[in-house]
Amino acid sequence: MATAHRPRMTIPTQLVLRALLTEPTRELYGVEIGAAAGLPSGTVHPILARLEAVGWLESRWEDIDPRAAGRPARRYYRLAPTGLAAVRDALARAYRARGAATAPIPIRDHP
Amino acid sequence: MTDRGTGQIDGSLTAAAPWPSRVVVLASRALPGGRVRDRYRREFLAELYGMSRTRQTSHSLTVLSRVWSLRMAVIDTARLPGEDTEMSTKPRIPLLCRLNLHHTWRTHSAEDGGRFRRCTRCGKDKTGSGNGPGDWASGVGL
Repeated sequence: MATAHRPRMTIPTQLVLRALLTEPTRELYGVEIGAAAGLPSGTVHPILARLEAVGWLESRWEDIDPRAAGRPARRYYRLAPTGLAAVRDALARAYRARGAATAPIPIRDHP
Repeated sequence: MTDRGTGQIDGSLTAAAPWPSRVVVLASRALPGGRVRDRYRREFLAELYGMSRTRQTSHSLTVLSRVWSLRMAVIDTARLPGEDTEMSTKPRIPLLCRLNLHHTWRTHSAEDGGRFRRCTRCGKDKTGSGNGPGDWASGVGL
């Protein structure tokens, strides 16, 4: 597995990872991932391909009977259990790289 | 195994319309042939189901506009070092280095403090006192 090759942590990539990280064990297909990430429909497949290539995501065909379901099987993606730590680390690095300018202002407790 | 979405993006399950289907099939043709193309063609077509006709159209056009990025991602994937691509990622030695006609020497320090020169492109260590271009004469035994 080529986890040593980190994908570029662009904003859309971060949005996709954050969307998947909300429920790491949940499987989503491309359109659902785009909707969860707030990205235009159809734009996530290049991102998913790169993330899958580095081992952060895994995908599989939906196990259904297309005739019974009335539609073809979808390709479902989820975070790979082995890539979870790397995803969190990459998101944290990207967050730090953006600097304090975009960081949320910490809320202090009043005495 | 996992919780899964219902797939009902726009309410009722709408079949894939002909034109969006053709557009995503056309988009998949930009991908490398074989299993990769078949996979994404199936994936794109399956995603059209459950969308309204309007959304199918916009979705298919977006897929078409992004297919070159997907192609690059898929091709880059094939270049990643792995079990099947080990040979393709082996560093290539430039022709001039292989012919010993030109090297790009750089001075390095050894662990014992000694200095030596090594070609940055092919990794060859410079031996002897040759100082010609690439030390080609010593390389060919002249």
